[in-house]
Amino acid sequence: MAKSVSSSGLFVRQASGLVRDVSMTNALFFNIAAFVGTAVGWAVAFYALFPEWQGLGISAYAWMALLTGIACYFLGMIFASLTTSMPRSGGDYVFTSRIISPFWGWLESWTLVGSALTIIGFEIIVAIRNIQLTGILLGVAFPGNGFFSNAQNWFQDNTSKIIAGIVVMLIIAGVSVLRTRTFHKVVTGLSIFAIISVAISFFGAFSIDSNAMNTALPALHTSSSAIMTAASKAGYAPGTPDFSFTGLIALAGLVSVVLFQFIGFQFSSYIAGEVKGNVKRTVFFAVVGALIFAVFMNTLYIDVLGNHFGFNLTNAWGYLYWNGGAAPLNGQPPFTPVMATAVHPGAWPLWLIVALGNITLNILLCPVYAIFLSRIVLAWALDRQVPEWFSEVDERTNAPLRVIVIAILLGAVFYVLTFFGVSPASTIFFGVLLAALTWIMPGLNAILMPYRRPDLFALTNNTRNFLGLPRLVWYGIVWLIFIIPVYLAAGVWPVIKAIQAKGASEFITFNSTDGVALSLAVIVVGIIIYIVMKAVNLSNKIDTKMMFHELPPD
Amino acid sequence: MAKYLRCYMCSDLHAASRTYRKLLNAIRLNVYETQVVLIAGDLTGKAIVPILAQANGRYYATFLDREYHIETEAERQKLEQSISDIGYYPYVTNQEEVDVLRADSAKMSELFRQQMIQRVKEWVELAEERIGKSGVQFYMMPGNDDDMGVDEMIARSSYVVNPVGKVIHLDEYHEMISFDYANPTPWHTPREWSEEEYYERIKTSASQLKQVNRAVFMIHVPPHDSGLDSAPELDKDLRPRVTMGDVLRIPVGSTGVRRALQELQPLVSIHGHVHEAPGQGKIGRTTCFNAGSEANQGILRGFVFDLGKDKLDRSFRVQG
Repeated sequence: MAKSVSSSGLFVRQASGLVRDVSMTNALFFNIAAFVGTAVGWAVAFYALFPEWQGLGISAYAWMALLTGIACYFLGMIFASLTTSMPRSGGDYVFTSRIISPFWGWLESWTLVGSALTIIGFEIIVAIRNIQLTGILLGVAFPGNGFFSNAQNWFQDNTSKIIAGIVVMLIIAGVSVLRTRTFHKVVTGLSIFAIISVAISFFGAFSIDSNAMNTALPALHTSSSAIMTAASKAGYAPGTPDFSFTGLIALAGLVSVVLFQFIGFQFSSYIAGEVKGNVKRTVFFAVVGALIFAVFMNTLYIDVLGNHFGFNLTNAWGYLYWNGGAAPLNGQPPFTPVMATAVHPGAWPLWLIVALGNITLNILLCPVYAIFLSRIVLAWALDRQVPEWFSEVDERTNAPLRVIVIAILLGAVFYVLTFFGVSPASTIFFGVLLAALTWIMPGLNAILMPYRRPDLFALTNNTRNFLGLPRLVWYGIVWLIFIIPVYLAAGVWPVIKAIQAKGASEFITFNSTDGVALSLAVIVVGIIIYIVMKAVNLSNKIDTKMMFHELPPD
Repeated sequence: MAKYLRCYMCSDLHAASRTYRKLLNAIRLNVYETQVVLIAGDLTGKAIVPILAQANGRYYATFLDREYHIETEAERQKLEQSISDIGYYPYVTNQEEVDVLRADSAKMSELFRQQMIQRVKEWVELAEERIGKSGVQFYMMPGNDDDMGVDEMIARSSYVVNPVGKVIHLDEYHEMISFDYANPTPWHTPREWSEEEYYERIKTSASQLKQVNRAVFMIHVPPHDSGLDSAPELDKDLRPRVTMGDVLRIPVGSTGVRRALQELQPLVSIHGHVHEAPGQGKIGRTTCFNAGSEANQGILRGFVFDLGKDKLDRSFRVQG
């Protein structure tokens, strides 16, 4: 059927009706708020997590982000298709439990929850760091002000860290427990503010070049040579394009960091049960719109900032930050609003907006995560994978409040772990490692759906064949060809190398093997919970298969 | 008799044919292993999608914000199916008739009436065809949104039963009485009673039961302030009232129903009407269910519950 541009009306009679609260705009900004996090001001800091080089004037990070973006388009199509046939809250859990098996649906979403909790913990760490960085920015703008010029020494002891952490968690909790409609309005409004800050940062970067940056570094109590010397001493070496086995492993690691930055662009699928209007169209545009923004932030945005602030400088500084070296400003990351204020002190109000936009998205990510986690747990509870106590929807917020509060508290546990020596980089890697099933299972779902659940497949928007296979199957194949090697190289290989180099004892150390033992522990706990709940349901004569059953209409 | 009687309840299907076909398949495939199916009201849809016949033998329609030029019969049938699946009524017409219908509310109402009755007729026939010999008791109750004409279509069926106005013996222990009306709504829908009248009617019907403490009450509207009746508060223009960016929600259930349940204390009461407030709750010893409705999104929501002789053995929410 061809589309037309003219229109005609609908005949409607008066009758009572259903209200859904999440619009396409809300869904789009929900996705954006879920992934941007602290990338507004910290973008260039992420360069240094893996050896970095430039090819054709574009950073390896941006190349990998572009590649990841192309691959994620197929992932986005998979999510849009699966949401079309199963338009309900719960996302991956619902899809996998219906297409493959309840066990794999549970395990996938259980590990996703674990991963998301680490990300909340990471964002709390970063929020406190961002408050400090904003103070430093004001100290650079007003050198005579004793309060701000000492900002790099804020939050050095555990007491002040705990107080700051509690304040941040209260802010997160305050947003999270808003009523659903207000919550989405707040997320949308704050995201728009943050996007304005992205625009200021992006265009503002053109007023800076590496020479001006080097000249301004003394205002940050450092110099280009001091940073480069310290970084070299700590093991930093500027990279060159390397496509050997080792180089490709490193690039896969870089992709895993990019994936960490992309996590969330499809999260509107998890709240599909609350989306109003045409669910298929809303989720599709929200996912693709957020993906375009994710690619922009991790390619053009990061490289414009990197090139204008100095590619080698920001890499060396970032290396010092992530590897516990003597990073400038008492161990701060290369935070572009502070660096820009050093170059143009008179423009501090604009860069303050950027810093505030950065904090906004950084903190906003946590309630968005809490909300999306709550929908997964709600779907679990409806299927009796966890006690129904979790699924009780609070009348004031129209949301499963208990889960939201628990999610924030568990996220705080990962924050507290940093008091015991766990580094933010380890937290990131743990989160990426634990999210493995979340990245892999959608590809399997797409490949298996037409054969295991043809009734559901018939309801998707990708049923047509291409080269003898349904398009949805091709999406799954393309996605798995991308994601499985990445995970083998970035997740499994470093663990094998660490154990080979240092012995099996490394296996149980959180930091040195990047949380693999903790990941396995989370998986084992998940399996135990699944078995216990199955036994409880059986003893109550509740057949959970009934609850999982997707009914064929024809 | 088995140790318990398994019942399945859903509500507010609102003409969503795909969801209804799911229900029939759930029974045909014995997914919920149920002996009794209860549909707690509101069978009909709320909108007609005109499909305009064009001079060149083609058709034109707008549906879910998308516009169609239809060139073949197969395309038209596919669109009609899509429209029916989400609970609207496709209606092939021409621009002239559309103009007449827009200008004449009586003709428009009559068209709606015909469409609603026709869809219920089709549903009843489909139930007879697909599950008529399954042995499952199938009770289809109209609701406040439904035109009175649909009752006759159900009454004609050899299989589907409209339980309203009857004492239904679900098994040797459990009886059921049913009420298709709502308390007064802002829309002045076809079936509404005052709170006092509702209370009195329930009391009168319950007096015919042998053992009310083992009975099932199927009442379209949920009891007031039960957690199963929270809906947006409306202003005088029937728009949701919004304060500080939030839709205000209020209990809209029936005080008459609540009073009757508090006094009579049946074993189970099942409800619909308020789509946004699914769940189960207790009023005294009575367990109340509202499955909610996402029928227009193609989701069949329901509750499965097992009636023991004197108690509710278990219950759980299902959706397919």
